[in-house]
Amino acid sequence: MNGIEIVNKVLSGDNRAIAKLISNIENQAPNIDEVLMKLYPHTGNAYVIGVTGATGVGKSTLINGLINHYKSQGLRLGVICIDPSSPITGGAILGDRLRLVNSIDERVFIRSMTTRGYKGGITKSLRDVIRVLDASGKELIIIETIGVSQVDVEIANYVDTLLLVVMPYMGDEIQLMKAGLLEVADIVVINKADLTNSEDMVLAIKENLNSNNGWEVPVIKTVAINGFGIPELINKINEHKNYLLTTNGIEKKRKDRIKEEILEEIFNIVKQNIVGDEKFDEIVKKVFEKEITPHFAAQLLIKKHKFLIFNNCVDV
Amino acid sequence: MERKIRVLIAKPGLNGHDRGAKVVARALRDAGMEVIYLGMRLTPDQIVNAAIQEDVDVIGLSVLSGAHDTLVPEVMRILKEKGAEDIKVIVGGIIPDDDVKKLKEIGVVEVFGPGTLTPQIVKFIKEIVAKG
Amino acid sequence: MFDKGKLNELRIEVESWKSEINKKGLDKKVGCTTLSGIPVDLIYTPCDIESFDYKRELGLPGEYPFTRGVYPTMYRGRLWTLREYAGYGTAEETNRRFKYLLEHGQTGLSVAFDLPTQIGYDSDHPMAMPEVGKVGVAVSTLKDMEILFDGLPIGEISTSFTINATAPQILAMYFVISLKQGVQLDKVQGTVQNDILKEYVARNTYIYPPQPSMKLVVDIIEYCSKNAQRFNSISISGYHMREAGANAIQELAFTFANAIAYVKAAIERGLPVDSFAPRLSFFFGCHNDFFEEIAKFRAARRIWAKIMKERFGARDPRSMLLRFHTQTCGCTLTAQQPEVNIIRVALQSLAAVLGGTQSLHTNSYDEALALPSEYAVRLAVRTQQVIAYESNVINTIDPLAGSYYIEYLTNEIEKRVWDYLQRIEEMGGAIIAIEKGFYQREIAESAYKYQKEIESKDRIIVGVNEFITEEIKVKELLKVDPILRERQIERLKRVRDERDKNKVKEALENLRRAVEKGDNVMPYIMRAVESYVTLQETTEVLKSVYGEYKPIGW
Repeated sequence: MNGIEIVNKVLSGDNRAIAKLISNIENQAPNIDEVLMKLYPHTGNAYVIGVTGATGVGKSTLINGLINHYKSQGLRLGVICIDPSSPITGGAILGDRLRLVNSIDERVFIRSMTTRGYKGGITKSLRDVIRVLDASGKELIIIETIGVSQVDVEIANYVDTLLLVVMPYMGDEIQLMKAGLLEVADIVVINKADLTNSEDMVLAIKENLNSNNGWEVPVIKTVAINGFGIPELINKINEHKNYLLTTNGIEKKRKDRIKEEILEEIFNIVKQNIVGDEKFDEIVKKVFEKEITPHFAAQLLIKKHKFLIFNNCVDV
Repeated sequence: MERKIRVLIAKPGLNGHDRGAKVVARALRDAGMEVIYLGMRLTPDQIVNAAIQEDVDVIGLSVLSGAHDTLVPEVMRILKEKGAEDIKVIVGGIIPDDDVKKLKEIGVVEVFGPGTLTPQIVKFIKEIVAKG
Repeated sequence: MFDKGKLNELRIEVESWKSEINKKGLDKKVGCTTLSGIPVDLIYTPCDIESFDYKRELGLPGEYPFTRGVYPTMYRGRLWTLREYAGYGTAEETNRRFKYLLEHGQTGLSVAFDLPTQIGYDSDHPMAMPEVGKVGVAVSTLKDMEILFDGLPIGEISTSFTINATAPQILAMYFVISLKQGVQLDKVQGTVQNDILKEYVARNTYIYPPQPSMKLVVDIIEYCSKNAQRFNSISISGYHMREAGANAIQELAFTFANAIAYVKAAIERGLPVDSFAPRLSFFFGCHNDFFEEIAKFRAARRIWAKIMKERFGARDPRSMLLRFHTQTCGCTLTAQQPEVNIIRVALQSLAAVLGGTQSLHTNSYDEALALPSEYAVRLAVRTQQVIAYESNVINTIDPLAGSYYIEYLTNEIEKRVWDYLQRIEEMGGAIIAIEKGFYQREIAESAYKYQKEIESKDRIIVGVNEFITEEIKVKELLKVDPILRERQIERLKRVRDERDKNKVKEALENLRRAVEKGDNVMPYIMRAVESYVTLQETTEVLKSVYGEYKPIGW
């Protein structure tokens, strides 16, 4: 498939084309920037929900509940499951889809992704993959990640509403959540709330919650396996969405995100043009031997490569 | 960036013996591949749908109940119907020689029986993916 | 039992002897282990079982802790039951195979059901169609069961049913035809597997979530304890977990952890432990590591006796007996040079007999290729007969007792099993450990390790990674004729048409009410199957109340 063909097929919602394009993004295929540019005007319509939490808290069961609800409302859905890859071999076993297999069909597009060695818990290609699903007409996109540490806080930069899923008996993890996840969550879900000490968990969480830009973060109890609490959760998601829409929060969120992404892109472009420098090792040696500072070295390299960087940028 | 090989491992039908499927999944992961492990009690439709959405290079089907004679052809038929016959299909399990021949005739690229060593499977997948 | 001073002298002597050998590098197996990873030394002496106490650790056969055997006379009184697991196609074919086996000296029956029957689908359900009659016989209604046992005297043979999630229905059918043959339930002999917990770990023929499934398990235990007292109401199985990759220690540990969960559940139902425990039976595999397997069976008897006596306070010695069926491990069979499997099976069966099994299935040499042919099954039966009648190994009880190595291994396995049981207990018991995927992960880990050992040639499998030769094809493989499925579906449709529709409706309604109330389902299911309600119809009722189990995933 050439660029135009693939763009048209993705826009028409063709599953095969969507899947191929996602692979091209992950593999950084040569014409990918061009294709993404053509898709870009068609993005911005999907609402993105993040679901994060440690292994075993029941994220998948919860997502099953959400999928079934939104499907029954006739929404077109995209789901992205992110699993870490092995730092040694780069391989991964992606097993989350298995738990969703009964609630999905052709109308729900689900894709499993790995981190491919990217340092955050999130995969580097995620933004573009979301855009592909968005442009293909998915009205709602759910992203599942394993949130266990500070790096996973990053997921907040990709989604409109972030659900943090925890379960009772998670004493140790509270400390971790204090470190960040609780600060970025829009809704906290206590799943498996039929276990005995769920009330203690509610209290412990509430103690550590701050309001998130004026939004009072709700704590909701669910038992995803039998559907308990799912309607309330869906109401809260809607409330949060309305809150963002009425307070212009969504526009601010998205603009902030664009700013962040542009800065990241600048860094990447500069970096890509510099790491190949044949004198790079020499400059490292100079810094190592205290001849120059890293700061000075960076400026030296940028200056040296300014034309290369400039020339490698496409005309827009 | 290096292109990752993606493989879907699935058990069509009702057969629940998943030792082989799991061992193969781990071996492929350790060889640097991305393995989508889809589990068991699956219909051919569910398998093909997942294979297309996940854009895998290879589908590995594991059947030990003897139901390969209807389930595998069904997977092949649906792949064709959806224009996805470029996805390679390999089969593992207890498959008598006569049936191996029949499965290959309908497009299955290889059948791995009991006693197969996982490096053989890794090597085979790398080769067929490289050939395209 | 041993003199301390002499032991110390011996220890010094043995150590210097070993270091001499090591110095010369003569021992080429340094670091070798049993299949479950227990280090194996060059030689074993009294030093390795220094606190050995005969009375406490072994006792006499038929006496606590039953290490030497569950009966006082063992095979001198009665041979083990020669029981081959069989079933394929329709009830007619399997009935013929049963008669063939009995003609050739088999002494008990064992029914293999096809997957739809095991998972609660009638033969004409879309999910069922590709699987009908493939790995066992298809049974959708009582009609099939009537044909399956046509001409077989239920009152005289014991029959084992490998059925779990649909055990209530299948057992109900068997009880109904027993009564029809004029055999009262308290005379019916046999075993129903009825071990649902291991299904979530291996084999995977579950239907409902663990909690309601446990309720059904106890329903059967309770019903049998009150009505069919000679029937083994459960066969708590390590075999399938072993086949999924567990090692010998994990096999015992997970089986006993599950057994503890069943006993607890039955006691919670209000059943006195001695009212049902004598009818708990077990099922293990027998793998390639000859001595480890023998030691495993001995350790298993001792562990179970202790669990029942010390933990559950059983008083009746019969409650403490670990009576078990053994099957040689299917996962050891090779598709390469399949005739070699005959030798493997012979060694495994010998280990099972030396380990004191109560019944035995020997695998057929062609089972890595297909379901066994008649010829292959006969050879498997003959293998047991050679051990039973020619080898003379049965003439004395537990002949390997007192071997330093065997006693050491027995102790070591026991110790390691207790460690696992402790861990599972700390997690909150078997059900929670399974729901958390603990067994599953441990087993997958062992399976992968075993595979890697074969691939690195740390373990040699003849014909697979060494001694590979040109293949000679097995001539006669069993193939299930597709016409059998058509016949099965035709019969099912006929039964559905001809039965009394009002009776069916009434039976299903009564069943639903009983399920909702939480009554024992057995009497209701018996009335339903009697009215030719299908397997799937009853399953649907249970599903609608209990829900369906979703696997935990990778």
